[in-house]
Amino acid sequence: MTETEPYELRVDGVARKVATSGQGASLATVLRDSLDLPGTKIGCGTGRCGTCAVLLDDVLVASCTVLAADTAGCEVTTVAGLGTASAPGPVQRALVEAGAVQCGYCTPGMVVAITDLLARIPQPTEVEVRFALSGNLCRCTGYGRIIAAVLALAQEYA
Amino acid sequence: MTVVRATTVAEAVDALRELRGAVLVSGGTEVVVGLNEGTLEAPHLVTLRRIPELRGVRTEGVDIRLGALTTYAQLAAGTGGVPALTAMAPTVGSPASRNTGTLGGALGTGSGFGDAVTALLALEAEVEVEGAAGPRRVPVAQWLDRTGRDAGDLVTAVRVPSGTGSQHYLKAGERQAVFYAIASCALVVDVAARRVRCALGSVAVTAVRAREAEDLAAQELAWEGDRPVADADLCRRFGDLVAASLPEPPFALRASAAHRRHVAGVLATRALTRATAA
Repeated sequence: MTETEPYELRVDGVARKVATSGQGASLATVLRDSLDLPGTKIGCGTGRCGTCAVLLDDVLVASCTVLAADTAGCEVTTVAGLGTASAPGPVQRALVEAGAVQCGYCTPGMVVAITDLLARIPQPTEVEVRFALSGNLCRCTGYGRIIAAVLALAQEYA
Repeated sequence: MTVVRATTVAEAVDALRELRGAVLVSGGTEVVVGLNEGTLEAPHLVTLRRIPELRGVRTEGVDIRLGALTTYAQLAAGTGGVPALTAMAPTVGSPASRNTGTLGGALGTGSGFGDAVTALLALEAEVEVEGAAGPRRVPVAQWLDRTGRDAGDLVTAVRVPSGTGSQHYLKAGERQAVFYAIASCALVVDVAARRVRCALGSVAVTAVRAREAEDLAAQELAWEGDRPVADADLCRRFGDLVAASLPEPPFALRASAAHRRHVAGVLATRALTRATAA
């Protein structure tokens, strides 16, 4: 029998200890509220909007549907691990350059999902981009510039 | 709350028995959402994803045995080589939820009428269960109607008979990604029996077999070797009979009963058309 608390996981390359994850809290909630990493957003809380996306041991997941206590010992990559405001990562830079951000609430999940896509498929077609981002809702942009940003970034690496 | 991170099936089954009200967590896509929304009360959780016995796919005799932790993403990539499951999996949820959601979870916590169970019903799959009295196998129909299910059961695998006939999965809903079905249709050609097996999802509280339409097809299909042959009229009558023979849909979520029934019939016609295409 293993009690839930406390436990350790690595977030963005840093070992973090979680003192408590309450009554079965999600990874998204623990990242935001316990580990002070508010970059990961919570939209729907049901795994359908994608803004809480993180990489869990290099696999794209909706962190609002992942039991935090079950990630003990795992490696988590959040949007905060993929660049900062002063030193944006390539995906973040591509989104800025394409004007692909409006309200920005979907952007953290988009950055993580795009990072996952390009790691798996470095030169995606537009259809592959749309399919890969089909779990990331954006209610502002109409997706056009987001998709253009991904294709432009892939082009840089071609 | 106690969270047991089980690493063996025996440990998980023991924990289920010892911790009153314990809930199993596989990928978390249903349980954690229930906890988020306060619709699920779980005094204890038993997590399964660290149990190697629940992973992996292998062939045993004529069966393909898919471990309970097989994800939708793995199925969509062709894992197991079961065409109905390969076609079903990419219609479920988002890419991220397909990475976490599992077959065992669909059976253990699922609503009974979702995508995976609909495909499994048409496949006449068996559910491998580890319970208080040891391991057993339950036909998926009895698992879905709960006559074959006991408290304390842990789904360890799903067994699907391998077949040579074509398999199809069609799903209609309000969008093309991250959507629940208004209706879905799984159709499996059983070459040995000279029949097709057809199951409908999201039209009743569990997935249902379309027995009357299956019988119609058995009487009227011609066969060219392993391929069934039907004209457009038979495919149409097959779908019409599917629609007419469905139980009254008990919910009007996302679509009226009449629309749901109509869509189910259209999907069944389309599935048989594909199964009989040259």
